[in-house]
Amino acid sequence: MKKFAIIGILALFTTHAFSFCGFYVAKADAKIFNKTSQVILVRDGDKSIVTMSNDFKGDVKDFAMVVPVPTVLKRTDIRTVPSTIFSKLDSYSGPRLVEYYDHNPCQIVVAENEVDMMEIQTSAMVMDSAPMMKSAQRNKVKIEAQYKVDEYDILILSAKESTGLKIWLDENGYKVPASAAEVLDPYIKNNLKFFVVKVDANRLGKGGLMNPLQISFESPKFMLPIRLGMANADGAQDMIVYGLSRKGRIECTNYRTVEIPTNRNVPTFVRDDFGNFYKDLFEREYNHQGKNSVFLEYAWNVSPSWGGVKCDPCVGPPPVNQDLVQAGATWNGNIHFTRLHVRYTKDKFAQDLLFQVTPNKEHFQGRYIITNPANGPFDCDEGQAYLTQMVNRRQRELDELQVLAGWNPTDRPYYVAGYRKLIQDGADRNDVATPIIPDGPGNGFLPKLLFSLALVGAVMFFLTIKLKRRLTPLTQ
Amino acid sequence: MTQEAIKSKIKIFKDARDFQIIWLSIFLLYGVWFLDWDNFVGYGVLIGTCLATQLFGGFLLNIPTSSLKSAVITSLSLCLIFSANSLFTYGLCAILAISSKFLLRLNGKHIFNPSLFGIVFCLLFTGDAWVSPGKWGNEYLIVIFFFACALLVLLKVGRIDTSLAFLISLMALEYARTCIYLGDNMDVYLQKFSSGTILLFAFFMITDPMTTPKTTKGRIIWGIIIGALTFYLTTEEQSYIAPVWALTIATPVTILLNTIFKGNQFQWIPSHMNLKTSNK
Repeated sequence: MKKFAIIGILALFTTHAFSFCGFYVAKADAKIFNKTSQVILVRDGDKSIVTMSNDFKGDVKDFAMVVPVPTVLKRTDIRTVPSTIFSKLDSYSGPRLVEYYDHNPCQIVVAENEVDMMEIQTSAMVMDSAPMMKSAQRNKVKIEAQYKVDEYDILILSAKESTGLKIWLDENGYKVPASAAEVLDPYIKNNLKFFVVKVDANRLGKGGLMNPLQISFESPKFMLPIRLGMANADGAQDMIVYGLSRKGRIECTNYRTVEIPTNRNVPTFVRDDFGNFYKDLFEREYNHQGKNSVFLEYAWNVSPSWGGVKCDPCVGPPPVNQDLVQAGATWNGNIHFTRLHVRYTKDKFAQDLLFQVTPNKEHFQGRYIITNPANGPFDCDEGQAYLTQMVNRRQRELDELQVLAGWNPTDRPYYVAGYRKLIQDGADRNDVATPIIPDGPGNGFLPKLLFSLALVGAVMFFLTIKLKRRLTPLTQ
Repeated sequence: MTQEAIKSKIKIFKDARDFQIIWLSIFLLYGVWFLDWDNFVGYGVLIGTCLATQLFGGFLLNIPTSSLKSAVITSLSLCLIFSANSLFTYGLCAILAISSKFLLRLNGKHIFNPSLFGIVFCLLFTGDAWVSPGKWGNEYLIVIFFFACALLVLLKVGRIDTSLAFLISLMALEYARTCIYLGDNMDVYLQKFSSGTILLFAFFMITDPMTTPKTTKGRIIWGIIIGALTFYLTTEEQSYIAPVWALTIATPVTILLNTIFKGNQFQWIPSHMNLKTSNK
């Protein structure tokens, strides 16, 4: 069995060099989640470059956006970038389903693998629209700067107190919810400025689509303000953050950053519904981790100069130099990519998200594995052993599916029973062969247990042994 | 019989370090089981290297083996706080932490908190180390548990004054800023103190009896200095591990405070007990 598996993998390797660790068959992109916003966050020293996706679907006259920023931005600090950058980064870094093929141990010829590339169904995205802006009228609010950047009209405001700002925004057509006022005050006192955006319909490009806005500023504050957005939101919102840094992973410092479960073997039928599978998995994990965590979905070295594998397997082409420059990572040298997924609500996320760049260079991806069974007949002894192994494996896959996504295994009775029927009487049903693809790290129960036992043992040892004492002055 | 029983009771846990070892281990196990900390090899290297360094140093300097307990505490603290890419950095951190006790000494007493020294050195000079303040999550129940455990140790060691001075000054300053000046709500304020990182620091790092001032007065002033520094570094410099830097900066102040307020050097095991056991 093992031999065949190795031949199989080598064959894949030579024909598809990019995917030696299985084929990507489906991906779960940002669009499967409702109310999802996407942000590219580039950090280089004290410099932050923030790109905000804009897929506002309504009348552009209704579009407006207020973003707290640490400094008064100059004209050169603001630009628009093509919206394709988001879809590129999203499709490159999204959670992925990969598949492997078993080979019939009763047949010697290795069959050519056929792989269907599938795109999952995408649902329409809804973006929360900030209130719109009509005219400029001043009311205890200072307009620090005013720019026209492509289709956008931009104002940078500073205010002395929130009431004035609130009145100003109201008078100018920004329907600021009452609950937002309490959030405005801390921002003002913290000396933040307000980056206020509306769209001039006449300057819209072809197709009437708005491009993402990109702003850059120098500040020790490395954060994303989410509190203003929560003021008028009902229920949870999702945000995908694509982070780029020189040193390594970006992580949240005031909330826990958790790796999403990865390298799990799931049943083959997940392939037909991978989008919903991941959505359910995320939901479960979000609840399991107390609804107040930030999830890591991807981390990889994407430096153009770095010769290593940029993804494994790739669900989208890795970002090239031009994409990275567009995103704001303009330096030469190492570029590390981090994809964070946060679902936030007002009660669990009282503070804005604060981040740090860490030197953590470990690669990570949300990866789920399906293994396609070989075709029969399985008359030979090896074939029967293979069937036994497969029945066990499929049972495990169903269990895993329930743990990960909460899908009920009894809904698919034939997934296991179909193969159990093929096992002939007399074949050794207890003969469990080594799985072709070793199980991923899983939830790591065994290492946890071993470590715990070792630690408890060591502590007991140190507490109970009689350590030799002397009269010499004790030092710690 | 009763005398014997009392004697043996005194023997177990007469050393406050026993409590510390137990609590720190519980915190680590909590992280492993509930917060998905899975860097087992790193933990192994930290604990192993700390013990080996302590044994080696102790052998060279003829230091009693009971100080191995201190090494265990240092290594557990490192497991709870320190992260790095390479195992080499873990090893380096452990060696630096323990050897700083032997090498950086003044008046027969080591200057730096050992785990602090290892962490700060690796943060500054290796480019491979980091601290994840967010890794404890924000769970209030855990905070209360943390508080209770720490209290037991500190009452035993008699260093509750430092912790309280630090926490009260930091919480007061933060309250003045967040709730009074910024006009923010209590949720924001409480969330800032619900992280295990700051509590681990408050109860286990700045209370190390060997590197804190000798007198109560000195320790209260010292705790307030660290609290104020932490507040300043968090709000003005946006430092995400402000307490670590604050304690580093405040370390020389200990020496100053010890010259102003004279007191007796702390001993883990009270000297009369020490004499008894060694007379045997």
